[in-house]
Amino acid sequence: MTLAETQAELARLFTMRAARGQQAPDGLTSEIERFAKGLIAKRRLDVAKWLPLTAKVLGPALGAQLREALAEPPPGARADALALVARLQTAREPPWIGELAAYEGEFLRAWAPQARLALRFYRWPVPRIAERLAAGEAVIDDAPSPTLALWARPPGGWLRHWWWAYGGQARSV
Amino acid sequence: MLQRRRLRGRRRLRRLRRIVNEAPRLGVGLSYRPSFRAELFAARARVDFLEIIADHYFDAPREKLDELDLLAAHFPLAPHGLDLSLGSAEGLDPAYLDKFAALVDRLDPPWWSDHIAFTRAGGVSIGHLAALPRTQEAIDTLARNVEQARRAISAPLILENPTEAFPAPGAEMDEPEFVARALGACDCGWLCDVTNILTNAVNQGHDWRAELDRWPWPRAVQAHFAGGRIARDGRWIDSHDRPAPPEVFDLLGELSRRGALRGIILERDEDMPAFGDLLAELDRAREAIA
Ligand SMILES: [Fe+2]
Repeated sequence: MTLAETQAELARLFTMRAARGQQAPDGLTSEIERFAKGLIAKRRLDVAKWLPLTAKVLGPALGAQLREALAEPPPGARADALALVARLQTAREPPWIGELAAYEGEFLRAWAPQARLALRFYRWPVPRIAERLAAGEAVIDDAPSPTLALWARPPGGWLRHWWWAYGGQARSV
Repeated sequence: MLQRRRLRGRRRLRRLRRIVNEAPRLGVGLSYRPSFRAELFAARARVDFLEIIADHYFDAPREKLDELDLLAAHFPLAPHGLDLSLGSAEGLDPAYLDKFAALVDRLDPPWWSDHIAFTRAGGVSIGHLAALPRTQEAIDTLARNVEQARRAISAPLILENPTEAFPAPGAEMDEPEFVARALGACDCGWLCDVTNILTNAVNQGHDWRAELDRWPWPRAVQAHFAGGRIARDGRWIDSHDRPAPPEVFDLLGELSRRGALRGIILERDEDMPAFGDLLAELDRAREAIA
């Protein structure tokens, strides 16, 4: 086997479950499985860095949610995080988890030098929930409240963010 | 022919001298994480320099680049790459290399670093460092890719020894010989990760003390150290989430006695302790090399 063939084979085995089931080389099955598990754990940590509040709310359930969302081969940490955001849109425990993930996901989408303008509507006051979570509170008692959030980045500039929740005050972050 | 070889030999020697002997002494510092930014500036005098993960600043927004400029204004910085995939048989990703070159250009560091490893193959991005098969073909590939990287980035490149989850199939040599030959073929200084040496020795059942004379210490420019978890089966996991164990400081001491070390970096990525604990680990490293 050439180096290119060996590396391509290892990369497939490390990242694709089906490939491991079919053709892990003799004597290396458990080593490759261990490395693959380590990769999944690393992807989970990376997603938790991009979506820290969502990960905090999910707690131990993050692993199971993520397992269903992770694509093969790995598309990269940001794509993993956005896949989790998409998956959580049907989650209901707590009822605002999907909107919280979407809200955090907007910051991730705005993480680029390019200009960006995004306006989003939420049924729950997720910016306020996010603030409380970031301050270390456990948010269990919030009620639905129509909320608008705006992200704006001028070309080459800093990201600005504003939100308005019905029944609350407008906030700029 | 003989003359050309001599000329090449002289050029290599000059380059090695430039990397190993002429690199500035940066001291003992941290791999930067935004989570400790405020504490870092409050304890500026106790951190000699910072390593920054180059990948975090590629395609980054303005606020992240402003953070980089702020760090550069207060600390010497050494950029460290995770995904150049210098050991890939399919060659380097030119777009990634361009981004790295732009970053090094912005910082003008004394050196920059990446790994003796691959992260991409067969159209798959693994998302983590994978050890190379310890073969001559892998060394030739690495040397070819390093030459390509050098054409894009003129600052000295130093290469780090990675952990090996397992020795890739077809090994023609052991790890110390592979690292020594790889650094020689590439004409590079060494980013010696002492925790990786210990992790591989423990997990592959070697006595690291018995192998001490076989590592290329004179090439060492920078060191990494970290702590990790120990699995139920006794394997070391290079998780960068614990204080470094005593053996790490023993090996750091050996390294500083045997090589001309210019800088030491503590890598801590997960389960961040109080910043004072990180500073205490830096002091312990200073004691180990005193
Ligand atoms: Fe390292």
